[in-house]
Order: sequence, then structure tokens, then C-alpha cells
Amino acid sequence: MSNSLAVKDLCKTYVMDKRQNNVLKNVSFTVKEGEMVSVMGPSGSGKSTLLYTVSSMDSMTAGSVDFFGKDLSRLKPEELAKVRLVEMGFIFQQMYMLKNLSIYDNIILPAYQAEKGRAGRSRKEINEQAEELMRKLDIIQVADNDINEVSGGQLQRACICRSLINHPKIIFADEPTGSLNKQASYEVMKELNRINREGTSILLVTHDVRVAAKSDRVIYLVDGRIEDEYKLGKFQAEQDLRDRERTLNGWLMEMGW
Amino acid sequence: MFIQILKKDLKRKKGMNLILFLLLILSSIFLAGGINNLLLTMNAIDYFFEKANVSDFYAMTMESEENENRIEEWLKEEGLVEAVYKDSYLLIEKEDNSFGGPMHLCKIRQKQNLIFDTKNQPVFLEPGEIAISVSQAEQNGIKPGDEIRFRAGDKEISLQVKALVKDVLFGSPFVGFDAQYVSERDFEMVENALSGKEIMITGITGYGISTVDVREFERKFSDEGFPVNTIMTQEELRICYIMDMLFAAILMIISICLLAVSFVILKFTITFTLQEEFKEIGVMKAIGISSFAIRGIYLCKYFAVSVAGALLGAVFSIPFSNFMMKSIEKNIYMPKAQGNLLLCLSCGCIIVLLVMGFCYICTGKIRRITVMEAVKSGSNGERYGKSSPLFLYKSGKLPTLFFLAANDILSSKRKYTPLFISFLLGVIMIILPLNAVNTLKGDSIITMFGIARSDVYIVNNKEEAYIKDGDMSKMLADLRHMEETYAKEGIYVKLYNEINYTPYVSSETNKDKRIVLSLQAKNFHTENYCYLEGEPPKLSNELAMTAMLAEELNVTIGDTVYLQFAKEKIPYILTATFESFNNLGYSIRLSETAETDLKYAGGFYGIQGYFREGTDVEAAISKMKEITPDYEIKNTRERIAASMGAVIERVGEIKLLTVSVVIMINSLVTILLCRTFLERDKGEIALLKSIGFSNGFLRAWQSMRIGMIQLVSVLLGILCSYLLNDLMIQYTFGIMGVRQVELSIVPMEVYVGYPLLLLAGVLASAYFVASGVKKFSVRKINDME
Repeated sequence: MSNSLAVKDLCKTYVMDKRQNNVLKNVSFTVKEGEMVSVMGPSGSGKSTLLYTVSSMDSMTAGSVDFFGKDLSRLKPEELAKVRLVEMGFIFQQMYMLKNLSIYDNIILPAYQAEKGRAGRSRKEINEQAEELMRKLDIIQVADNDINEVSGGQLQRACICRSLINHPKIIFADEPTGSLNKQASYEVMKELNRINREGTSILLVTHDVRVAAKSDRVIYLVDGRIEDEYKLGKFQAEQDLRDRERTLNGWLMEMGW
Repeated sequence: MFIQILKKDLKRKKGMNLILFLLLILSSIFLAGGINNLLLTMNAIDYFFEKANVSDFYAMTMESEENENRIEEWLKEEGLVEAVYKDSYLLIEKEDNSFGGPMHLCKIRQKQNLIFDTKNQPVFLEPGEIAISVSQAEQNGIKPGDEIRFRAGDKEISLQVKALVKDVLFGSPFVGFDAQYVSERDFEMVENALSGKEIMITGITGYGISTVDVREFERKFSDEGFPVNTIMTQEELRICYIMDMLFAAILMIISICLLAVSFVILKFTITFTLQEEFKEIGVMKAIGISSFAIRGIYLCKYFAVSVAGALLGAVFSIPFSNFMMKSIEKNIYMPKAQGNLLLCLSCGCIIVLLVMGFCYICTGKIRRITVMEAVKSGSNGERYGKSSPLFLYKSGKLPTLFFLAANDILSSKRKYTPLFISFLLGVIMIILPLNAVNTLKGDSIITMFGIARSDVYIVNNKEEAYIKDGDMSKMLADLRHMEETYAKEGIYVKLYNEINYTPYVSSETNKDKRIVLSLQAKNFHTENYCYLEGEPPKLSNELAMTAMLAEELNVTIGDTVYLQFAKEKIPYILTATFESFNNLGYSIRLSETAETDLKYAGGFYGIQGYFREGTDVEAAISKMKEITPDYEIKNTRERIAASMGAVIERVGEIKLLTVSVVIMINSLVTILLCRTFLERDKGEIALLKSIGFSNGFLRAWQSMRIGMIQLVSVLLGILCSYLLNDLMIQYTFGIMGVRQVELSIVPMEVYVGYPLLLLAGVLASAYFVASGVKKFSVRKINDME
């Protein structure tokens, strides 16, 4: 399998009040096509910064990010925006959506915007695909609702639909279950695993061992450096989850978690 | 504690507080500037007249020892007279000078009807210097420092223009006479040089009279039947400043619009900033601070910001006010805005009180809201409000950019209301004056002066000689001679002369006599003029008069009115009514056959003429210019420009001022409100950025919303202006005596050109502010509610 994402010597430094804060220090890792990688670590270790930087949402101070052969550090802002629109998907901890649009419109918005770049996909087809996605994620019944008229779980699934509408090659998720209850978290992770099995790479940041246990590999970040990584292999069935959680917990204990 | 919280708040929320501060300054400038302008313009003419010590009554007669002795004897005996000041005007014919028209040289008046320079200072002239009025300078393209040369008798004299003056007596183009001021020594030198001149006309004498009872004095003066050519009471002179009053009225309307804009901005600012900080309010309540104390913190903060903003605004309002007054100040002596510093500061205090009032009302909501409501939802209700009726999936082929912009506006109408109102007022403020200006410039305006539109207009510079001679037959013979001269060269033109008189008019029901401009065309039929109702006057005892005058005299068609040219009162039958700008709506048309004496003529409207059918008018006019190079020969457009030139130019200035002010205000309001929108939308901007929307798109989205608001404002503004046109006619043309005006609307300029200019200004401002999206990091996504 080839790499979908290859991060090399990535550094990120913030300067605040003339003080330099090195958040990421020579971070290198890869995410293979169809792989699901979790990033864990204590608070303030730079997990979210790593996610924002490799996904081109934030600029890097040094190093390189190779995304399917494209060096993101060399692309102009407008080119990066196009890559994010067409080839990447994003899920945040908070269910961010445009408040003046309905759930359905929020989902199809990136697809309508990208339609020029995706020859052959008409608005009708986009609508059909959106409906299919919403049906799969069981939110079709709230399609025309305003964003404040649905539950947190439904809203997060809507965010997943939005991230998938342009058939991205990779999904970046920043604590996607962080603000959800147990049942909603389970549903969201089920969907992410399904998407991953269909071939979409996923890089997610989480504090939740149960979430991380469903990924192929876990990277542990401490003070802006990768301390170690743990390979769990492909998650196949729910009955394996307990074992995966136990072994992952053991490793995390060793890491000082 | 309050001071500590305030300090931290000012430091932490620099952006928001800066916007609040700027908007408060803007509101303060508009409020103080608007009120200042209102007060200044309301009293402008009174102030000018008071400063210039205008005489109660002014009479002018052709210089003649006999006339002067008679008038002066009578004035000496008349008990109603308090003081008399005599002025002498020396006539220099147009062909003898480089001024651009006949000159009337005069010494500077010292006691009455004073003149001032453009800085409102008294004028002093040394030998070799001359001063002319601002309107003459504009009309003839003369600047201070220019040389004016003329011949007096055998002497060639050259004077340098030292100052442009605000001349209360002759500064208005509607007075119909002008004067140029020279030093006493130069005056005497010219007078001596002219005394040897062969022709009789060398001067005009004016009497400025102060009286205890103007009406009674006017009645007695008219009974004497003095051979005077022009009589003006202070009230009539005041009417001549109608254009300035009109400009003042326009400025007043602009000021009122500015006040409206300032209140809209103020309301928006306070509501917006409180909404922005609603979460903080909730948190404070959650940790146990009482509503009263929270209110105190906010009131303290707004007090500090509003005091600073209002004070600065009040100071800036002075140059703003002066800038707006520039056009009016040109011709009349006005108090400076600086003189009203106290007023500006008072306006600043009003702003502070208003802000505190708004704040007190807005913060009142804090008491009624629970901690949970405040922390969860904010106060604007938008989040739980009904969203837009638009749906993206139903938008057909509409680009997402347009959809998002339209959807935002429809979802948060209240948010965009201040912009909409500011833009709408701006469009109306531009379109109405433009329609007025274009109508004043149009060809049909000439008929509104009570004269007929003709092919050619000629001035042969013999007017004053005809009046002095009083020989009507010579004037008619001259007309025939001119016709023959042109016919010899193949140009067949029928010429007539329009003469004006200023007799007293009265009726059976209204015996109060008033002076009214009366026109009589010689060699031309009265059927050729426009009338409102009735039949054109044909017999020698028939006349037509303006509907306004008929109303004042309480007469209708068929009634008898009396005209008094000298001592004798002559009865005439009113046969028709019409409308005219002349004398601000009060004028008379005499029949061609009415027996009149040129001795009492006030002047001429010039010779007019019609070419034989099929003549190429422009070619004929240029040939006539070759045949008689000494005459002023004009086509209709040139004639309008000549008589209305200064007025049109000043209306044009008002137009330019209005357009500049409106574009400036709309751009400022756009910049400040867009900045607040950007602040409010930062979360959504970050979200759109994160999912791949480019900076270019986001910038266009932010600007597009403003563009759409502006477009709707323009369309609605055009509709409102269409409905307000009648009001505008009533208060502009109506003031000047004409109510039935067919507006000359230039659609491309009024409905396309200027709205596009406004749109471009606003869009450029919005686009400039929207460049701020580049600076927003995706991390701002956490600022979303």
C-alpha cells in the first residue's frame, strides 16, 4: 500500500508576546492508503496542532507533508483550499455548521462548491449522493431541519456526511466523539470504521481508548514529539474490541498515560 | 473592581472596542454636524442681512440731475425716512471692457449694504484694485489677481482683481444687476474721464433708504411716480436669495438624513456589542455577580468609550460641517462652525446620553435572562430563530456564492437593516438633486421664465440707450434693420424684443400695491406663450399674470387689475394665468399692443428670433456671428447657460457635494459594519476555510452580501425617488414659483451611472474590509457559537 500522507520533520512554532513556543518538533510519520491512525497524548502535547498542520489548515514552520505525491508546503493558499475541498474531509469535536443553512444544505454545500472541479457530477447527482449518505447515517429524517433542531449525535453524523460528500481520500477528525454520549460515540465510530473499510484513510486525534482501539495504529505524542507508536492491525469485529482496548491500555500505561 | 474589569476588557477586546469607538465617533460627527448645519442654514440669510446692514428700501434711477433733485428733495421732507445713502454707478459698456459684460463701477459702501471678502472681512481697495462678486467671477471665469481692462473716455485703465466679494445687494444672480467696486481715487478718475464722453449715459444712481415703516414708505414713494428703473425692498431682496435658501434646504435634508443614519448606526452598535458579550454576561451571572453589578460594569465601560468617542466626534464635526457649508458660504456671510464649538460639544453630550440610554435599556434584559439561557444561546435569538426560506438544494444553477450571500441576508434581516437604511437614504439623496439639476439644465427651462423658446437669442448692447432715450420706435426700427442686414446675407429671421417693466400692481380686492416684473414682447404675438388657463392677452388693456399673483391679488380671469408705471393707475383685464420663475412666481405678461413707455423699462430679456422653416439653425447662428461680431448671439442651450450658468454651477456643486458626502458616508458605514460582520462571522469563515473554501471565495461572499443590500437599496431608492419627485418639485421649483414642471430625467445618469458609482464605492470598501478573511486562522472555528 502506498502512502496517502507522509509527514517528515514537521515543526510548528508559535510566537506569543515575543516568546517562542515550539509545539511540534521534527515530527515524522506516514498514513497509508486505507489506514486509520489515531493520535493520542496528554493535553498540550500538540495533537490538534499536528492535525491542523498536516491537513494544511495551519501553516508549518519547517518540514514537509506529502499528500498523494503533492508537497503541501509548496502549494499556494488557493491550491491548498482546493485540495481540502476535493480531497480531504474534516470532522471536529464541536459540531460546527453554518447556522443559516439546513442540515441538508450544510452537507451539500462543499459538493456544490466543488462541482466545477468534479466534471460529470451534476447537482442532481450530488443531491442523490447526499440523500444516500444521510440514509446510511440515519439522519435523512432531519434533512430539512435547522441545525439547532437535532441532537448532538445527529449533528455529528451530519458533519461526517459533509466530510464525505466529495469522496475525500483522507478524513481528519479532531476528537470526533469528544462531546457525544456513549451511544452517539458508538454510532459515529461505526460509521468511521465503515468509511475506512471502504478505503478512505483516517487520521484522528482522541483521548478515548475505545475510539483509538478501533484504529490500525496509534501514535503517542508527548511535548511535540512522537514518543512511540503501537500497531493494532485492522479492526474487524466488535468482539475483538475488548482485547484491543486492553492491550492498548497496557501500552498507554507504559507511555505514562 | 470596575476599573480593573474595564481595563482588562479594553485590552482584551481591542477589535470590538475599536469598532464601537469608531462608530461612536461617526455618529457623533453626523449628529453634531447635522444639528450645526441645520441651525446655521436656518438663520443664514438673516445673519447675512444683519451683518451687511441691508437697507429697507433700495431704488435705482438713470443718472439725471432733474430726477435726482426731485427724489432727494422728497426724501429730505418725508418723515418716514430715517437715513438715506446715495450710491453712484459708472457705466462702462461691454465693448469697452475685458470684463465680459457691462460694468457698473462703484465705491465701497461704508454704512449700508456692506460687502465682505470671502473670509467675511470688510474690503479695502487701493488705487489700481477692483473687487467683483463671487457670482460674477464664476460666470466670467475671473480669479483674484486677474487684470480687468477698460476704456473710460480717452483713458485706457487696467485694474487688478483684489478680492471676490459677498455683495448682499447684487450678489444674487436673481437681482439682475451687478456692480464692481473700486477705490475712491479710481472712481473719481473714471468719473472725470467719462464726463467728457459724447453719449449721454454715464451712470446710474442708487438710494439705500432706512425707514420706520416700509409698507407705508413704499406706498408713498410709488404715489410720487418717480422715474425709477428698479425698486427693491429688503423682503424682495431676501427672495433673490432663494437659490441659497434652496441650497440650505438641500443641506438641511442631507443633515436630517445624516442624523437618521447616525441613530441607526448607534442602535446597531450598542445592540451588536452587547450581543457579542452575552456569553460573558452569562458567565458573570454564573459565578454569582448580581445583575445590577454586571449592568454597572457595562455602563461604566460604555460611558468611558462613549465619552472619548463623542468628544472626538464633536471636534471632527467642525471641519465636516465647514466642508458641507462650503457651497453656501461662497455667496453669503455665514457664521463659522467653530463659533458653535459649544453646540458641537453639546451634541457630544447628547451622544453620551443616548449611548447610556441605549445601554441602560439593552442591559435591562440581563435581569430577565437566566444563567443557562445566557450561556447557551446568547441574546440575539438568531440561533433559535427561524432560518432563511431559501434552500441550497432548491437553488437550481445559482452559484453557491450568490446563494450564501442571499441566504445570509434573509436569515438575519435585522443585522443588515442599518446598512440598508444608510444606503437607501444615500440613493435618495443623490437621485432627487440630480433630477432637479438636469431639469434646470434642460431646454424646456426657458419657458419656465415666462418667455417663449426661440431659435436664436441676441444681445445688441443697446438696452440702456433705449431706456435712456425712451424711444420705442427707434428700438423697433433697429429690429427691422437687423432683420434686413441678415436677410441681405441670406438669413431670414424674424426678431422681437422682450422688455421688462416693474410697475406696481393692485386690484379692487387687494389695494396693497406691490412691484411686479411685467414682460412685453414687441413684434411678437402673445399666443406664442404657454398659459395655464384663459385666453392670451390681445387688446391693449388685457394682460395675463401668474396664478400665484392672481391668488395674492384675489382676482380671477375677467377681473380688473391696476398697473401703475408712473403716477397714473391703468386698469387692465386679466385674461389668462401662467407659471414662471420670474420674480419667484410673481409676474405679468402684457399684450403686444399695451401702451408702455420705455422710460420705465427695467431692462430687456434680449432679442429673440425665429428662422424661416428649413433653416439650419446652427449654421445660421454662426453666420450671424460673422455678420454682426459685436452682438452676443446664442442658441437655446447657450442662452440657458448664460442666464442660469452660475445657478447651474452652484447646483452642480451641491450635486458634487451630495455625491461625495453620500459615497463617503456609505463607504465609512460599510467599512465599520463589515468589520463587525467579519468579527461576528469569524467562526463560520474558519469553518468554510477548513472545508476548502478559498480566501477569494470568502472575500467575495462577504462583499456580495453588501453588494446585494446596496442593489436592493438602489432599486427601492429609485422607486422612492420616483414617488418623492413631486415633493421635490413642490419644495424646489415650487419655491421659485413653478409647480407644473416636467422633470428632465436622464435615466442613464440618474438610474444607472450614479447608483453604479455608489455601488462601486461601497463594494470597494466591503472588498477592502473583507481582505481580513486572510488573517483568520482555522483555529477561530472555536469562536463559533
